[in-house]
Amino acid sequence: MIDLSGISKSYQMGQHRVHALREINLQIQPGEFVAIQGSSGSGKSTLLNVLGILDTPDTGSYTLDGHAIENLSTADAARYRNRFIGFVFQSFNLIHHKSALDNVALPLYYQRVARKQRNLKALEYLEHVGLKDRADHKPSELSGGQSQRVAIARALITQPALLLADEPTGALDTSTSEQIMNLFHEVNAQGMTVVLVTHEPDIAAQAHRSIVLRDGDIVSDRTRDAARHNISDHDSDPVNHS
Amino acid sequence: MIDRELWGEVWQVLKANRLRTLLTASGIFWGVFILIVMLGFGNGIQSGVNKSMAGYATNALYMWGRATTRPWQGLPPGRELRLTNEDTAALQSRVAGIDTLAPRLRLARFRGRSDVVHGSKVTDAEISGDTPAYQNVLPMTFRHGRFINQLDIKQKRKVAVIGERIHRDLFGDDVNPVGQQIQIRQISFTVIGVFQPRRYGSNRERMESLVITPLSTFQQVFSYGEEIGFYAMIPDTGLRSESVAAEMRQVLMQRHRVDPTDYRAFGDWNSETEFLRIERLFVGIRAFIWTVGLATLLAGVLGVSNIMMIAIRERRREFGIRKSIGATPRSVLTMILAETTTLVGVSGLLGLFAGLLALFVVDFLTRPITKSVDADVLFDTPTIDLKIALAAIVALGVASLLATLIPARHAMKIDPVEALRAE
Repeated sequence: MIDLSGISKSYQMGQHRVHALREINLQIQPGEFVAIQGSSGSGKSTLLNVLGILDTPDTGSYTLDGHAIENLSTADAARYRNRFIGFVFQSFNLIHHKSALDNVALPLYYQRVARKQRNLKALEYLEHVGLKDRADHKPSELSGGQSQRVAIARALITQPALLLADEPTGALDTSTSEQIMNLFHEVNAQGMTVVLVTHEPDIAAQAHRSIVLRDGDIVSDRTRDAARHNISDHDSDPVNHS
Repeated sequence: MIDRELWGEVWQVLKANRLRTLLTASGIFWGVFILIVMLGFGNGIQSGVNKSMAGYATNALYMWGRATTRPWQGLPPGRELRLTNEDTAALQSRVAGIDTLAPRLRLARFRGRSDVVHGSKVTDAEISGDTPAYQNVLPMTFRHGRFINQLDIKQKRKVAVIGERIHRDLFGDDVNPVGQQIQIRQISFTVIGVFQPRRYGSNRERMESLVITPLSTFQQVFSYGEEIGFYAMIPDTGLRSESVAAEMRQVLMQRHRVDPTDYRAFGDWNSETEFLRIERLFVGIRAFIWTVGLATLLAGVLGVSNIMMIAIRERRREFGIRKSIGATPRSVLTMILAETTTLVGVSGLLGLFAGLLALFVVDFLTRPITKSVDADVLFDTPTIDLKIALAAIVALGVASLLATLIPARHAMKIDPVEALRAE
């Protein structure tokens, strides 16, 4: 599904060169639920941006679902993002002047789906996240949890192969976080690959596989064998260190 | 490229920022509105002035003798100068560039009146002696009969052409007076025509009260001998009446032995100078209107560009989101340009319609005054060249698009990572 090899990325910060990613090699299989952990500055956001084709690495190769992601024009990158990847952000990133329905339908606008069809589909996805009755509300009229569920519906509407989430529960309370995580589990159970970046251990612990980054290097990559939905007491039980 | 879906997006954005949209639109609206109204008024005033000057030869020059103010060749100053038939002949043979030379005589002083009698009826009229050439100076039509001809002059016939009021007062409107007799200072004239100037303008009462007789008859019966009162002259086309007048003056000065520097010896009045002055005034007014109008439009364009720049900065995040979910840079650019086009197009057209409506209302309210027969207002139906108006709007649209292109290209290049990181 995802094949990263030798990915490096550095930024110029004033006088210093910051190596956000150093020679990252990473394979993610279809249907995996991966958490990427790390303190701030560890390079986890950069990795996510590379995975999401929002950022291009300095060196290395990236293959997504059999497609080599390199030397893409900005227009092609936009098309790949639209087709293959769904994004969920910490700050939801809904467009504030659009209703929940229009926000969810927006990716289909860029696929040139007719308004009627995309609204129908958007309603279906809103129903799926339990917000059908909020379809006409603007983001400002939604709670944080509702906003994130709208954002997830938007990420899912194009039926992407890969769902990328950047601290999706970072701005939410515990019980709302749980609802959101349940949604992730649900789509993962249906076969979608989920990669989520978090610094919260209990969120990371719910993933099937946990990768820890530090200073741009992968320092740990563990896969647990426990059932993905039943995580309660086994989180400190790493198995199958690769 | 621009389809219904795109308009849907544009409409949503414009609606979401109602105040910003309204402010930008009102800038454009006023620019176009003011330009249209000012152009309309400019045209209205110009056609009003043209209308009031229609019917006059716009380049006619009048010249008359006054008195010398300087001694010359042993002659004292203060000598009265009287023009004569010989002057007429000399001017016609020696001055090139004269199209029409109409020697004229009046029975009384300037604008003075004399009694005209028909049977038991009496009225007052300005009596003049004229030649057929006068018709070129004052274009006229005839309700009855004809104007004075060469035969009348040659045979010194006692005939008269009368104005409409004289006709009405002495004969009544529905009577054909041709062949009837009128008396001026107890001398009988036969009426040969009733004339009507092509346009009355502000002199209606005077024009209606004219009685025109052949110059030769006039000189004889009223004892003027060879004397001429003044000349009305029209230069050949392409010539300035003033330059022809200078030559006339030279000939007359020589003939009457006047110091060539004694400019006050012969008086003249020149409608061409007036006409040119008015023309120049209009060039000025037009330049003013365009300057103000275009400056207003330019302010509108700058407003659009400015507001789009702010709007784009404010919407960085939105563009970042759009790009992260699949908007191509091109589609971002297209959307922004479509927003500008919509804003400018709609408000520009609204301004155009409002301007036309305002002109229509003005025309409707002033119609009773400007359209009456003896209207002497320097204003007529304000008109607009729609092609010019539309061209102004198209130019406005293009200018706005160019002005928006810079911030729009910036938006196109927004890095979603950067845009979404901030908060």
